Amino acid sequence: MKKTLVIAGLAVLSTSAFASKARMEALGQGSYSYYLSDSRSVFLNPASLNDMKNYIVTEWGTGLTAAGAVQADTATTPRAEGGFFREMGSFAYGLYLGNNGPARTYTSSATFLDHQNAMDLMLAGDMGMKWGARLHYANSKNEGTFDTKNSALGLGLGLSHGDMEAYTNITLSDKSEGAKVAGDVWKRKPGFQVGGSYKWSGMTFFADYNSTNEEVTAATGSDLTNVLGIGANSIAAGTTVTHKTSDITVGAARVHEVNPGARIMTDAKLVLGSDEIAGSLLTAKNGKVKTTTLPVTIGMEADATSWLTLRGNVHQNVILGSTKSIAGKSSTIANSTTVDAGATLNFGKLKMDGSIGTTGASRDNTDVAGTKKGVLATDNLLTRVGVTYMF
Amino acid sequence: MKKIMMIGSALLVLSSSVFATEARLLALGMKETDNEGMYYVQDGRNIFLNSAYVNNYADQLVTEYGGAGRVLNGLRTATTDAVYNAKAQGGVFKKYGGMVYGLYYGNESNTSSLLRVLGTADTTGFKMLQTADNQIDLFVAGDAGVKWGANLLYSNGKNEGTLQSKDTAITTRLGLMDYNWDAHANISLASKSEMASATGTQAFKGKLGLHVGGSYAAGMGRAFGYIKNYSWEQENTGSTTVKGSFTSYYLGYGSDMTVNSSDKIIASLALRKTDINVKFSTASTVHTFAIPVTLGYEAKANDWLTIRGSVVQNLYGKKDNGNLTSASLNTTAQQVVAATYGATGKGTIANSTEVNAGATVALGQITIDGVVGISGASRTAPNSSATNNGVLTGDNLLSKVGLTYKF
Repeated sequence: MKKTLVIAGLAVLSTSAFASKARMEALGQGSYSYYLSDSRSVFLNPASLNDMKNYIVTEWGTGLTAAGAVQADTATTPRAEGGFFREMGSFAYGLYLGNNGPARTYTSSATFLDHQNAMDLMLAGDMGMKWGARLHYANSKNEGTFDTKNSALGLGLGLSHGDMEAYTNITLSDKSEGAKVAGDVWKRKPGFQVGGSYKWSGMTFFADYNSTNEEVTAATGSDLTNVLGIGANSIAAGTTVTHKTSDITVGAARVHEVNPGARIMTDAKLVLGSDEIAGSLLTAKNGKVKTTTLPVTIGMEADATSWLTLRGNVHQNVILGSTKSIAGKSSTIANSTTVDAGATLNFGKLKMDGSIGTTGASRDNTDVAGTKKGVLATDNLLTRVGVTYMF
Repeated sequence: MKKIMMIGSALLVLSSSVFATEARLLALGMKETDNEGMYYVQDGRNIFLNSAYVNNYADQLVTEYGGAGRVLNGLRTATTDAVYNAKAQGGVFKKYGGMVYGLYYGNESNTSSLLRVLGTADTTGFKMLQTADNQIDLFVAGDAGVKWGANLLYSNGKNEGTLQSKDTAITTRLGLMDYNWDAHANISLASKSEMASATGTQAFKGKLGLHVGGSYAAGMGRAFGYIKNYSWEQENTGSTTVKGSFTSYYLGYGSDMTVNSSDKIIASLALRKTDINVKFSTASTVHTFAIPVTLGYEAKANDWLTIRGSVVQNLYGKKDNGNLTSASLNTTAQQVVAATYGATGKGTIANSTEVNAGATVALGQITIDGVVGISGASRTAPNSSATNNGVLTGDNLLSKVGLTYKF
């Protein structure tokens, strides 16, 4: 029993030390995980701030993209982000900079403003039940021939009690005005992410519902194109296109502690996705696309030495993995097998995480960065680097 | 308790006194045009902010690796000292008796270069005014109850070719430092650059320039502030004299909080306002106002490796730049100003989030500092060495490397 407690303690200690997108991606979890303990969880459930505090994290990358350009945060072009989290009595607070959200879709001839210089303020506490709150804020404006501006406000709330967690993340407002002409508007109506998890018998069961509802309006005299990826001349002047998405995720996961320095994690989740467009000038684009997948992820994380932790995963859709088009035709999602890898260099209180193997086999123009060709390149030792200093 | 504090303080002084490069401060979020130092982080580089700091950094030799000192590459393309394009510089500091003396080569000012680029009247930028070159800085410092320091900067260059050009710069830096306050006055006494060619002459004549500021220990950190003001006249054959001015205000509070004998975390909040005016027939102007917040860390990873980093972002940032594409502003100036202060237009300073990282390798009395992560994810042309793509590379392990030898 005592040994079990020690192992459990070490497991918590070791996992809570990690805090980066690189770790999550190397374990096949995307930006955050529904069941793995990592400081990235604060963006899913702010109550997790109670468990991981007193650290500074910096995600290397660039924030110097020109105003209005797409700020996609990808493994090969990561965005500069970082924050500071600290406990204060029975509370914990945090300030995170540069979490500008997902890239906004744009017109080919004009751009709406994205979130710029976004800020996330977090506060958490423990009153028998752990709770947390996150406020996201971004505001920007450019005065030119006509003004372009964006303002966004989001709220995250979370609870954690024993084996149970629950959270909601709400987009309260997100509006960009001015693109091709002053009257063009991109607006996100209130959207919700609601979910929770429950640990039982060594397993974690989780469920998540996420919905977005966007409206893009082309003003009179405007010619917005390629908005939301629905094709050229997609919005007629003076009309509005709506774009709704929803994802329902239900899954189960297990983290098996092989020993205090190694663990194997597996998860399977059913994801039912829906993507609906209405009002497009191209009528063939109007309608709903449904996606059904059952991805299974098998990952591992092990301390190779006192200073090096290695991790990786293999991920593939199993049994279910198809898309049903607007016309009602189904097609299998091809080549869903992915393998990711990563490492952490441990320097005591300082951890340097990164992805491995995201390099082409050569340095010429035809084999660019981001290409996975099974290479361990010493000159691109770690990519999407995140550094965490715990104090 | 006293013992712990004394040991902690001693170790802090000891550990900080071996750091003396731009790379360290850049990794900790320094955002000064001339990389002259930070008020709330102890570093040898601060001698260019307040010359009294020389007292704390005696008996060491500093070399900053880089290319040729002159900031003009050819006649058209201007480059300044940047993290991915470092300039060679370095110096030595030695204590004799109660005084510390220093000699430093090549700390050519980016601000000075920027003003000369702005001051070039030739709109094509082909005949760029010469910038400060082969610069020498002499330091002397002492402790008379209050630490003091003085510096004299001298630069002189002359070319008698098809394009005849000459440049002169003289500056003095005066500084005072006590245990809980410091103050400095860095004064540009002379700054002149002239060029003559078959098509005529042009000249930049700097007026008395001031960089006055200081800091005061309050609470867990230091309150700090400065004013920089430079003005100049520029002349071109057949044209009226054009006047220009550069003014920058900086006010803030910062702290480097000691976590243990070797580690620290830093935080600061500041207000920064910059105004540049060049009064051609159509005035070109830069007006920026920002409230940057900086969060950083510095930790000893092991006996020989220190790792540091920071994230910087404007909580508020506005720009109002006018006519930076004006036909009267030379093309090089347009590029340099746009890269530093943004393009023409009024609005939010976009995408200000910046993450920096660096490392120091300690090899006995030698420390090697560098900035980490200034590499693209590949070596292909569109992914150049100036790209910050979040990569730890083996072949660009450290950039803007500086070496300090303490004797």
